[in-house]
Amino acid sequence: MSCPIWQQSHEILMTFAGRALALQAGAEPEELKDSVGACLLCGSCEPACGMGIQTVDITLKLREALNNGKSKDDLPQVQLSRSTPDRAVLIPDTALLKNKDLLGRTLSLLDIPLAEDNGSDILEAFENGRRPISGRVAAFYRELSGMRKIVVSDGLFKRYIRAVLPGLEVIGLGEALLRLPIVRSSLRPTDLYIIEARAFNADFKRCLPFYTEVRKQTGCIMNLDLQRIAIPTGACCKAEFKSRSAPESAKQISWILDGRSFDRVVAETAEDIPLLKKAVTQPVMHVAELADGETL
Amino acid sequence: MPQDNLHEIKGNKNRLAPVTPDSLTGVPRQQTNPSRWSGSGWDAFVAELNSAGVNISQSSAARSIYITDGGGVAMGLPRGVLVARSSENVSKTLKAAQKHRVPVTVRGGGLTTEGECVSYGGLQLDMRGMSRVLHIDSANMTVRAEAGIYWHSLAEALRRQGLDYLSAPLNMTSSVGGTLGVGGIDINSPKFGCSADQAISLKVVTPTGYIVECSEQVNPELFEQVLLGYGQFGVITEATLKIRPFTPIRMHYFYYSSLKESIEDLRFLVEEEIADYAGILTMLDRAINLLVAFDSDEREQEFFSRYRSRLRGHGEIGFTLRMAAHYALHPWKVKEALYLLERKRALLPELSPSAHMQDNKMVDRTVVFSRAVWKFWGGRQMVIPDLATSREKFARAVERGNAVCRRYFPNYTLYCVGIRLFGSRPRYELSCIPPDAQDFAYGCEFEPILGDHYYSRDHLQSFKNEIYDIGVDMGTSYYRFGGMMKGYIRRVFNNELVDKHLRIKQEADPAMILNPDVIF
Repeated sequence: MSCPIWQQSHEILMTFAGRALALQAGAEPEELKDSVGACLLCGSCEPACGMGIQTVDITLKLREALNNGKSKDDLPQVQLSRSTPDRAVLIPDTALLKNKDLLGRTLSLLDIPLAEDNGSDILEAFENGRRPISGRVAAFYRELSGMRKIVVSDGLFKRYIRAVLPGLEVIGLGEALLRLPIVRSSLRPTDLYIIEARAFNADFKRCLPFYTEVRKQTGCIMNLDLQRIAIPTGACCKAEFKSRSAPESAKQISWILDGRSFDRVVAETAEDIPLLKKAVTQPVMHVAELADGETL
Repeated sequence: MPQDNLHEIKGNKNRLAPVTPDSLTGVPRQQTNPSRWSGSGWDAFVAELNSAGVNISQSSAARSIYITDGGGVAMGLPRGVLVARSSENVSKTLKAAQKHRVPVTVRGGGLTTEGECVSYGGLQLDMRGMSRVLHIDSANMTVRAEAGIYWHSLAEALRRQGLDYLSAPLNMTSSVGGTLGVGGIDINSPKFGCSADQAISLKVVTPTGYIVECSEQVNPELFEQVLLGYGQFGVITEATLKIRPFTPIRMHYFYYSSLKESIEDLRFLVEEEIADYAGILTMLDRAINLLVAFDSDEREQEFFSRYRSRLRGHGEIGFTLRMAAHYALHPWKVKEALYLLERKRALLPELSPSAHMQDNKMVDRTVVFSRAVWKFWGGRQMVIPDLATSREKFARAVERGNAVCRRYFPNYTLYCVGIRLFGSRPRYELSCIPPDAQDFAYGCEFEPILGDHYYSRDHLQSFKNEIYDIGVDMGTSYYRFGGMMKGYIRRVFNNELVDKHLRIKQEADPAMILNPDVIF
């Protein structure tokens, strides 16, 4: 029910549940190409799954199979040094990287440096079930292996980095900023707060209590459904073979906004902001900009 | 069925219909899958629909996902699938199906347990393609929605306007149309009746393909046939339902060691209209939970000031002390005590998760209960035979069913609720509402906790049959009497009543193509 493809197509075969049933019945990945390609990898099916299946991993493996690529299991396992220094770094997505003002504000608030390599090519390959150029992944992770904490603005990186660097603290940008009292206290009860769904759903068990506390403390509404699963806008999706059935971001945003009343929209990801500005007349801002606004 | 009656129907060529053998008298006790439809006329059917702009998916991937239902016992594969998008394409489909005599099996959430929504070689009509909320009228407190929508999705749309449906099954994937067709029970059914009783009007596509609006005022006969009609008399494509303001609920749990006492207290709560929500959920024969909840503080206060002292159930602390004393005197039952402790430790926090609570009130009862049910009672299959009885027969039926559970499974749960009735509506005839029930009916599901144990199909079927045999013996009804359990229909209802409905069915569905093998 939380799946954006389900929300827009109401066709079970297009969802993870449909793919799983078809695979159990002997379907080949090629027969599920449209369904596999339509997935936003938002992970909303994962917390909804009563069996605890790693749904996003399976979908990524299907994409790899469709590309005749190799499995994610082939990723290098980087060992963290026991004397890991107390360092943190921000890995921005391309939209945040391009917005110098917002990026500067974010770095200043978090008081952490920017990663020299934002790994966008690796993430794109990962999302599309392709293997990055040989040696590229190892070079990317070499820099990260010296870190204690990594803040990512595209939540899909959470999954990817954890697969390679288990034990490292990887959190979403929104969560990192909301941990700052100056940011959190600026949220109003009349705000609609747009969580980056890929970061939230990838880490549901840990993120849900955190965001529940923020919601109860500030009184704001969030893009959570009744299951408390984050509804994605779909703006982050970089699927190259995005199928004809892929959900449209405008419809996703319309679903998020429908029936909700608010005075201001606060988004965790820069990519959502232009889409939200198109959809609403109220002010739209990035969570990093909250620190500049009036407080409660 | 009396042979002369059968001959009378068979003798009329215009009304000749393929009635499956096990809908007749002398049916075998253990049912198996219905036989697969031969496929004669399929290609012409598909070609006609294609030319009319209705595309049937015939890929193996599309068909294979419908192989079974929630019960996981009945297995079948459709020849093709249509995801319904409009009443018009459902209409075209049923007209062509009548002409080419193609069986059409309708599916919503697929939560039947006896294969009622499983297609055995015909067309699978997936209604979930029609899942839009069409109009919310907060002035008149009604909502119009397409009938393939899940209740949970409907709640999602209503909640944003501070509204809620009246009553729906406590799971995430029951569809509106499917529920209206069988009844629908919630823990607030003592107050609002079964879910079907909140329907104000329906758009129905008849088995011959006519699109008809019906309500208590307009086409009332069809309205009454379709509600609790087990999909026999039409496909519900849209429904207008009563709604209400959304209220978080305050939950209370009372614990009993006696099944009989808990049932008597449930009846007291239901018939005196004391609580807004009430139901029994057992953990062990000697650990029974009576759930009581309220929509308002006033109702809750009234309960505690006037009625609480009349309930024999204990609070959590009192019950824990009693159980500790019991197991201290019965040390050889240590395994049972540990099971209970573990259940309590794991289950209780799941019933008040912070994300779904607000000021100590539960805001999403469907999410909380369906997750808890899945986690603590779920398994590969839903095996939940039931008995639906009048108030007089309820306690005895439950006790007899409980004794059957004890013989078949180490652990099981009983889920009991009361259901308000609204007079003697025609829809209650040949339905889950027992014919002898007045004002309130009662239902009990007997749910083995299957866990990771493997039980053979015969074991599970024999268990179900023994529960259903109690119904025959006591003259009750069942919530699930279709599909593989349809052999019980003539045993529990009388031939005259079943023949009456069969004649209506044959009149409405001359080729008997809509949801075959469910009732007839």
